[in-house]
Amino acid sequence: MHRLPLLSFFALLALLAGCGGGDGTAPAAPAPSLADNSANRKQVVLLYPSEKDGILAPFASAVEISETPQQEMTGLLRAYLSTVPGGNLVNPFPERTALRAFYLEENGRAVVDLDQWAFEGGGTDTETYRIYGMINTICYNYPEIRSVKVLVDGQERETLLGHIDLLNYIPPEPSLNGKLP
Amino acid sequence: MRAFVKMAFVACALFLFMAAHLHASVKLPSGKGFLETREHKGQEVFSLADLVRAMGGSAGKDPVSQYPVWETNGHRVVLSTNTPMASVDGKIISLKSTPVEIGGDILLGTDFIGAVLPKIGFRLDEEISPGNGDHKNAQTRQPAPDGKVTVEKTVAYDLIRITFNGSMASLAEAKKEEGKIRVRLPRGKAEMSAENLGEGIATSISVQDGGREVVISLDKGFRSFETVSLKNPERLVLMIKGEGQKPPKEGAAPPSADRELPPIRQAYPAKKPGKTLIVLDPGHGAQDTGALGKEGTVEKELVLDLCLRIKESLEKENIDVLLTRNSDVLVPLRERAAFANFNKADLFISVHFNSSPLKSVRGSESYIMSREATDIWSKELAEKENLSPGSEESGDGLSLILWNLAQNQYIVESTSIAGELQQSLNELFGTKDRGVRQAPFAVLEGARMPAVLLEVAYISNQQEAKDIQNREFSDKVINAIVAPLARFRDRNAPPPAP
Repeated sequence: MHRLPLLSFFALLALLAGCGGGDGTAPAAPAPSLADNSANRKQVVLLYPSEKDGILAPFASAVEISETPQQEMTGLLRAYLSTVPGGNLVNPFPERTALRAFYLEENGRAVVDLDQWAFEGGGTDTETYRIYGMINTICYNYPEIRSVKVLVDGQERETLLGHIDLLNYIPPEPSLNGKLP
Repeated sequence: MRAFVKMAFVACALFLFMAAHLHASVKLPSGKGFLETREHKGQEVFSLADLVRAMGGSAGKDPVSQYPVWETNGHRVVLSTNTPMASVDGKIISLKSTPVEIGGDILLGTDFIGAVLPKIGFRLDEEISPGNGDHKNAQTRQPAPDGKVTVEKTVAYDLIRITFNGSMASLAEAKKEEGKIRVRLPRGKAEMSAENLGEGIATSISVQDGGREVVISLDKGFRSFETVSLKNPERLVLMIKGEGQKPPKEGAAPPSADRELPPIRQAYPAKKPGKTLIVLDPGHGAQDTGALGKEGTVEKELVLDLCLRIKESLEKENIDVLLTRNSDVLVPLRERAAFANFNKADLFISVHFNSSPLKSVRGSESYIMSREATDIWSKELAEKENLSPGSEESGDGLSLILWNLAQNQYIVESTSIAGELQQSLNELFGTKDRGVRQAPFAVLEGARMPAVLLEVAYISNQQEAKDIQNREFSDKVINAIVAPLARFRDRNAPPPAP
């Protein structure tokens, strides 16, 4: 999904809800009202780095409730990659990064397969925010997930941008999170 | 009069024809004709707009970096106007000249054709020949020799790394049997001859079955092995771990000396009794540029220059220093800590410059190995081996399993020195200290000593990128790094030599 229609969608939702969801100045904004009213959507929290203090701060969103947890988490990740949170929050992934696949394994493990846009850019901060923004978001919304392996273009990679080990499953790093709802 | 007009007309036509055809040009692949070139500051260049018109796709700017972008055939080419580089689908490619932005258009050197077009689906299947101009910079695609697998080796005290490149090498299978590791190639033949590796972890490497199989003979120091399949380029990396590897005795074939060898191949540990030894690791190198920052800064260059100068200052403090690289070479991440282990260093510091998607962020940050990650990996490894930390078997066995996670023994000391370095630099920058962060850094995992990844400053921040290139300011940065390291030396002074 492209970000512009999504941005407009969330802007509309924010206006309707009378809140500026995700401006990074307060803990998670209430979930958009349309999502509240929709029986088949579930409130989620997306964690994005904040210009204010460099921590991962919450942004309220909603995903479709699906028949399987795998479908639902796939929706969560697609929302994470495509959302432009605005305000003080920044999506750390390049705009066109897409989710190729998401798998659930036994023992609380999951595998995320991103496309090669995820390789763009450089710097430890950028890499840390991409990996942990995504993993902390999955594990916060679905605590049954304890660690996540990241693939790019279906392949195992040593790192994304030269720093964080992607050969192993990565648990969330709560120390990077700000105050969560 | 009529005759004169006729002659003038013919002369004009001839002039226009010659003018048009005397322009230099470069031939495009896939029958797309020629592209007009011109000279810019001694370089033969062409216009990106012309290229896009000829080859298709669209040009614009990357919304994040604001670098010029050309998208075609489902590929994305990002051009840097600061450095002679392009990124093709996220992979960095070196160019001979830096793309130049003039009047809203981008001028590219003719080598761009040979360097980039084959990577985005255009086959240079015939020699690029001159149109009417000079094409000395144009390159022809050199097809990879089919069926050949090259074998590269790096031998260290506690690790032998063998890389198989080419012809579906990433699908090769490695099996251990009867004191040997056999690597079966799915296609092609290994291009190598038998070689003596010395003794310790492995003694020799040879080929069998006409090159279809590579056999490594193991020695008593062998502990474990693992393989990693990688693409772009297609390769399989075999890592054989253990300890006590020594080079072949005199008379054995010497290692290749046709390129600079990474320092990991030094024969003996450099640690001297009674002296503190610090290993500095300038991050990235060669095709891994690291972050590209404001003011044309390239992380791999900044860190190398800084580490060479920190080394000088530390040596004045009577601290011995080794660098994992002292030139623009690529040292594999896991070999950097292995180098520190081999040399029995007291401290390992991987030095980087940061880049962030956050515009406002500045200052210094330091990272240590993630406790969360090491805990979960330790547990998973123990479960895999049916060991529990409390069982009798967990002593040597678990230590062996945790070979890769040696850093978790040093987390307290690592945190302490990371905090001091960060505080010292943030005082200099006048920035807020955001605390020591944790993440599972590949470069820190195997270090058997306190280890820190230090992000000196943000080159994504224009002011810091500018400051760090100022000699006077960078001297202050060096002092801010050396002072905590001198205190570390005082706290952890090794016993004097007997």
